[in-house]
Amino acid sequence: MMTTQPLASAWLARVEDLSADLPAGVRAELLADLREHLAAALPPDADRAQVAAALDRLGDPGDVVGAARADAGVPPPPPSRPAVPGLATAEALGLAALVLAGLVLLVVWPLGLLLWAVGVAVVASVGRWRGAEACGAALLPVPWALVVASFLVPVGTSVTTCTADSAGVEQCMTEGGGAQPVLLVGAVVLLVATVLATRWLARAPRGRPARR
Amino acid sequence: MEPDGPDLAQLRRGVVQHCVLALLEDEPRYSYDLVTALGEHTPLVTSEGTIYPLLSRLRRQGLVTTSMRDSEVGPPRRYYALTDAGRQHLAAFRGTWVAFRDATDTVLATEEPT
Repeated sequence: MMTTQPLASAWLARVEDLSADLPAGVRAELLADLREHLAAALPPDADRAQVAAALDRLGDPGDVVGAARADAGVPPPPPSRPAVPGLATAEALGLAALVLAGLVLLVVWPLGLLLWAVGVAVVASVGRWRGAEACGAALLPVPWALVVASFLVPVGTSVTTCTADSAGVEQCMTEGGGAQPVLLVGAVVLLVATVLATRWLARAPRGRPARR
Repeated sequence: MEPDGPDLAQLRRGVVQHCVLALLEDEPRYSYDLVTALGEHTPLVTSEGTIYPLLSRLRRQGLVTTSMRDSEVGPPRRYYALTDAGRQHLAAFRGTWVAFRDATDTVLATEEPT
């Protein structure tokens, strides 16, 4: 089979790579057509020169995939990485440590402080955030701790009063907590704002590549 | 090989597909023969490989159909045939093309007499 010819295999592999973003059906059909073409163009014992000539007539893999892309109406791939790059592992770990630090700070404060320090160290070392962004990232535990506090306070201050009437039936009444919608609304607003701020940091474009 | 200018790519778009239809006018053709026959006309196509996506599109548009036929040598072969819609398309293009070509020739001859 001619596709075992290293030259032809490499050519087909290149087409496969370049066409990865095409619809599966379009891509499969293109590759099948090209394989069939090479099978028809080359005798089983084709030598290197014959394979090279057949590939030359088939053309540049980029041209072939470009034609398939145009005919399928698929826009050309972006020249480089997407404008909003994903988080690298270290960056994600740093942000996660800072969020977690804020969440546990008021509950287990030594762990919170430790996570805070780790998060700041990671954020400073990866170089993704600079200037105001870096300061914002370092202070990220503060709003998260406030979110925790804003949910803890209404619950903590709720008072349950139970009285027994003359018949011995106990009646309980809870004040605070759910009875203070203003505090809860404030807590939810703070939560949403903090989540948005964290998301913004996670999606902030890399201003400059980290210097090495 | 001569590098193709952007003009040539623009010219091919919208023209080459009708040449494919014309090659199928008399009888169905084996895909490999069809592609190599068109590939002979260098100004018309970039390379043989770029013709296959065009064939797929013509099939999706219902201008050609494909069928597999057994071959005495090797695996079954894919044959392309013109549909009625493809035939009508080709006839319409022939008329348009002659008028277009004549007008272009006339204007170009005025610009650059030989």
